Amino acid sequence: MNPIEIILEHPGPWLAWIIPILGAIMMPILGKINHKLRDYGAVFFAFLALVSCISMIPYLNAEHALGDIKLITWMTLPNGTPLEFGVLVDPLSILICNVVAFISFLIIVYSTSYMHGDPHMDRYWFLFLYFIGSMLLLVLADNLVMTLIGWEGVGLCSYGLIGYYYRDAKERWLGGPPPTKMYPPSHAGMKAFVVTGIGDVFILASIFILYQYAGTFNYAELIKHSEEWLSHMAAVPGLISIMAIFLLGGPIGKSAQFPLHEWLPEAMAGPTSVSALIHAATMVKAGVYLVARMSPIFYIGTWNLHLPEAQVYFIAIACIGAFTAFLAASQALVALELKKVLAYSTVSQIGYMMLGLGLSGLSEGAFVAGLTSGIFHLVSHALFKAALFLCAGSVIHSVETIYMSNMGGLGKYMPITKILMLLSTLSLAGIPPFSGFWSKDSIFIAGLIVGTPLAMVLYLVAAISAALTLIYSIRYIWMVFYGDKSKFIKDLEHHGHHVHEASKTMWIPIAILVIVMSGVSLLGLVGQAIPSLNPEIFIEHQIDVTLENLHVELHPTHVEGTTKLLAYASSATIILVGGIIGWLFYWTRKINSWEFVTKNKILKPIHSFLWNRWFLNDLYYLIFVQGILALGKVIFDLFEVKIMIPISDYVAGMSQKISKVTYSNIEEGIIFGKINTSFPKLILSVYQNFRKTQTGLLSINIVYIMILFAAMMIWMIYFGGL
Amino acid sequence: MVMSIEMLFLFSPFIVVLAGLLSERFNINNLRESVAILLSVFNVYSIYLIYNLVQNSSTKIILFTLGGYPPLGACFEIDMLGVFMAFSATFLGLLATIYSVSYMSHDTRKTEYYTLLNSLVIGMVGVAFAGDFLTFFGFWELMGIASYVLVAFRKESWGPIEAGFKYMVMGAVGSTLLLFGIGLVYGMAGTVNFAQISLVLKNQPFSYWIGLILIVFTVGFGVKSAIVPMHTWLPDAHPEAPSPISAMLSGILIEIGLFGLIRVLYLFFDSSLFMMPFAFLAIITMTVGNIMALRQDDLKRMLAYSSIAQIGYMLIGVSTGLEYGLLGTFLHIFNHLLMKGVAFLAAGNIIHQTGLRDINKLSGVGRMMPYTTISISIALLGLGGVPGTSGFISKFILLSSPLYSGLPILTLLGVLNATFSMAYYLRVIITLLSGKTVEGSEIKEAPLLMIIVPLLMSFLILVLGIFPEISIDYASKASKTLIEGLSNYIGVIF
Amino acid sequence: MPNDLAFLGTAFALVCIGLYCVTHKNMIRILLGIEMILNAGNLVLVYFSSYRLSLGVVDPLGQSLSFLSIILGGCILAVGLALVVNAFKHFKSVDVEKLRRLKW
Repeated sequence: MNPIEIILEHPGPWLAWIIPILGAIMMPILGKINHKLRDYGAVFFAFLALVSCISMIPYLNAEHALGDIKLITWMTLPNGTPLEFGVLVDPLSILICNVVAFISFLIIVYSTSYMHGDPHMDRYWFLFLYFIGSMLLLVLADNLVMTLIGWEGVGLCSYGLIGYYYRDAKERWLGGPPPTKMYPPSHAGMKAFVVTGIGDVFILASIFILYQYAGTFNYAELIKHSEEWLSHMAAVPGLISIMAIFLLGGPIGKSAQFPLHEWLPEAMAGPTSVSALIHAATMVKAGVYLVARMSPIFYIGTWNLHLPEAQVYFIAIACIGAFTAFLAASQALVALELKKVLAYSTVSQIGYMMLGLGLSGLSEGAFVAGLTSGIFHLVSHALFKAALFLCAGSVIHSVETIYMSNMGGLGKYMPITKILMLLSTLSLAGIPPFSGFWSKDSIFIAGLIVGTPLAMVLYLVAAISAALTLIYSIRYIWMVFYGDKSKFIKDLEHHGHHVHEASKTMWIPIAILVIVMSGVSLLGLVGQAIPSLNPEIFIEHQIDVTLENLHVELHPTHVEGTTKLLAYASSATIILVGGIIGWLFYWTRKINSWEFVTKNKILKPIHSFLWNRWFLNDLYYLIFVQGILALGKVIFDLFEVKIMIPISDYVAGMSQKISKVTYSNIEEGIIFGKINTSFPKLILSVYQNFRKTQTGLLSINIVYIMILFAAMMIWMIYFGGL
Repeated sequence: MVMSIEMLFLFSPFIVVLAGLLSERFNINNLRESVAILLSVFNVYSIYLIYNLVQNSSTKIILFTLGGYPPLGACFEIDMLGVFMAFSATFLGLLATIYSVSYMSHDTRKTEYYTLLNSLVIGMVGVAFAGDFLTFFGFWELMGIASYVLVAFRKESWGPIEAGFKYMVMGAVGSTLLLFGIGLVYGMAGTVNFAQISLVLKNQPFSYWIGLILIVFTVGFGVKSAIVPMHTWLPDAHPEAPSPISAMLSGILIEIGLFGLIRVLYLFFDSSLFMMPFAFLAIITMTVGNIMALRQDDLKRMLAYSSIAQIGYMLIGVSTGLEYGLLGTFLHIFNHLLMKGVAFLAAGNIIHQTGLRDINKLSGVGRMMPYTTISISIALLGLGGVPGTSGFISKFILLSSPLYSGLPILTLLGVLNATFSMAYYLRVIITLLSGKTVEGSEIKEAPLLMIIVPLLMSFLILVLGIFPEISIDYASKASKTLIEGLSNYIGVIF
Repeated sequence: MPNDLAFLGTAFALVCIGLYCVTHKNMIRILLGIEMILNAGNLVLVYFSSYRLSLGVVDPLGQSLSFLSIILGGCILAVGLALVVNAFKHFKSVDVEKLRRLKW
């Protein structure tokens, strides 16, 4: 069949990513014609992408399952297998691409108002639509190479959109207030690119290793033949662990997990709509998606082949996830910028997802439960975090400051935003019956199902972080919407600027998001009684179907009734503890938190430790920025000036000394001194000239050649071979 | 077969001289240029004819003898590898000639220029076709001398003279060392014919003489192909030459040096012998190239250092000793020809129109020269190995090849280098596209001919990036002749 | 064979001396150094071409290659000298050390 026919047979999965990319290319052209046309065009293209994604929903039904569709052979790989362009349409990818397309569409509507009047909208729309296309390509691709193409595409768009205000106007800088260092947007973009790039290097290396053993990049084939190639790989001790850890490198970078999490807080330098879409709802989930995609391989390795090394994948990601959840939540406690609090919160919540995915492989029967919890939390987090960011955007848009200390008492002026933000915050904090509660709870349940000591430790860390989540949620809600008006706002009003409610095109998308989120919450509640409506059970079913299509053998699960009760009980404890602390410190203000912290000898260093982001940022800068610069300097100065020239000088000097010694000896010698005085003189003058020529550049070039020549000769003679 | 009519194009430089003299004598405008372009087209066409001959022969190799049957006479032994390199050389030669018509329009001594340019191309074709050291060395020096003069062509200013002198000295040291190596090989094998030497040397156990020959050849060819630490002439010579010549030097001349090295290595030595030293050279070459390029402010100098880094990537393929690695090397030679060709020609446009070479001063130029900027951006993204460009394909093959030869460290370092190199490629694109414009200047887009050539080539980069099978097919034919076809290559002589 | 070592040793010494000369600062001496390495190669070629002397012939291949290289060496020298003349015009010196404005 020719490619066009294949596409026409099932247009959804192809058009979903082709249309936004084509639209991105159209943007500059439409922008030349008419600005309105361009803006509506962007919304239209995003809508088409959404429609294509929705058209895939019928394939969720097992009877109409599509699976892997291959389009064309792109190139023939060295071992003779073809590398094919294709899409993998299974419940996992359909679910995630629908989430992506839905949120993208809402945020693109929001952007038409939020970015109104910006002079560089061509660039904005281009990057935005290109992002949607790349992200959907990443999700729908059926092989690692295509996924990587999408992966780099979203990275590039993220770089472009973080540095969107590349002119680095002072008010766009991030960080501070002043004693703390501030960074311009272009710097933030570069940082994001470099940090995620480190992860990409690792994932590339891992894919090369994987390919060498498996001989294919296709997901379905990788999983199908995994028993064969994993047992080959197991012959080399340590290789599977290296491959697993390197493979996690990419998701760790892209999803901002420890130790590559430092770019996400700075990524907030971009427009807020971008933060909402790319750095909260979708792109950062690419890592979660990839981890989930690849996990069947390691599950088979761990529990079918009984290779302890394969479990490294799950242990590593679970530990990293739990630790990141705690690390970021603790930093969110002290951050002053509204968007940065939300960014830390995003990092922390992704940590939960990673924890859920990691738990899936820690016990034989927890696979489906773990994957379900991770994906469920991904979906619910995408909804409420996008809404939170868009609300934050509305607030920042209207008060023109990024610091929460400059807000306060906004609830009166922005009632709709306040209600929307409150609802989504309740979900973030995990208050029942909101969606965040159900999804976070499913992660806890997964932890209890595993039940090993390691899982219990992770469970504890996750529980503490959940309490922290509640505390910082109360903190930012109070600081933004309640309390007294800050001096900054009073000044603003004094200058005739009134804080106002966001426009309709801005709050309607948020409202839709919140309504959908509430719907999910409600279904979660109703689902307790009627299991067929429970979103968790729905996702669990989809995961089951996905794994069935990939021919993964599952081991049975036994969930005891007490497990759920235990999870609910611990959630209640968390809410109680977190709620009381938050209430005391941030709501009633009975205890002045600032004084409490500064007066306490233990808390003050902790505060500065958290405020300085655990000093990780400084450490990374010290090692990777200053270090690399210093290395460059070393290579330039030390190698050229301090090593090469002294060496040649030294050679010349030594030769001169030798000649002097011989000269004087021969001079003093009785016989040779008189017969052959001219010879040593000749040598001396030659050496003197030799030394002088070493400063000339051309001669040093030739010296390099001679050094190589001599080095290779010495090598050959010493080792008796090359 | 004695010489055939298809080889007539080897005499094309003489016709350029004639046309040049005629147009000077009778003041015929554009005669010289049109003849030069026509002859370049003729060169490409002749290579096409020779390709057909090679494909139609039963052994896929044809032998042209001169002055007696080997071992006594000189000969051209043309295999697919030779055709591949010759096509690359003539193709870039054609594009450079077309580009030069506009670029060199204000220069004097154009007859010399076109003659030398054509001689350079013919020299490279001769090197690619040579079947023995007699032919090889003759054409090698023809190519070398033409390039020395072309680098120093604009002798009115000091830069080209200085660069030319340095290049000349180092190049001459390299080629004289090569002659010394040829002498040693001749002593061991008693002949200068490649196939016969291969028969004698390839199966000998390791001795210091073989090691010495390998070292001398490494240094001799290494100077021409700019392997670190013999690269020091390149960052001087490439920026100072006129831009079409820079494109020729970076795009194909150093690769011809590498080709000579590959031919000698794979014909004469067992691959286990040179694997380690070349892996080592590959690492330092790409690392030094990338590190040095990082801090360059001069656009062309940065591109020159980037060429060194790309040579490092190509050496990875050489060091594997496998057909797959060589496939990567040859594919990268062709892709690098396109990418570096575009980059230097587009840089030439920028220098021609603005007179600026400092990257920092180029901010905003991109808006005034959109077509140039599009082509240079595609080329630089390709050099960085962005998917969708042909550079990605060849780099992917190159960087994955050490996994098969058991040196995964090379892959790791290569990927690190490739990521790291994006920094300076992106810097150029960002500077061109963003920022304030040079104050009060009215920069126009370059003349038509100077836009068309880079645009055409950058279009090819994208096409070969999306449909790589076309170029992979030819490159794999070329790489096959060195491993599988080796017995064939020797068999043709006997 | 003792002859082998003597000739090859001489040739190798010529290469080394030539390389040393090229590191010199006088441009003319650099060119002479290049010629010296070239002649080392010629010496080797000519010496090995006499290997078939016992058969009553000299091998024409080695001889012709050395003729070729002498001619090409002359060409290189001519180009080199032309460059030296031009360099003298610009830098008013034949000292290579003056030619170091291009660096890094």
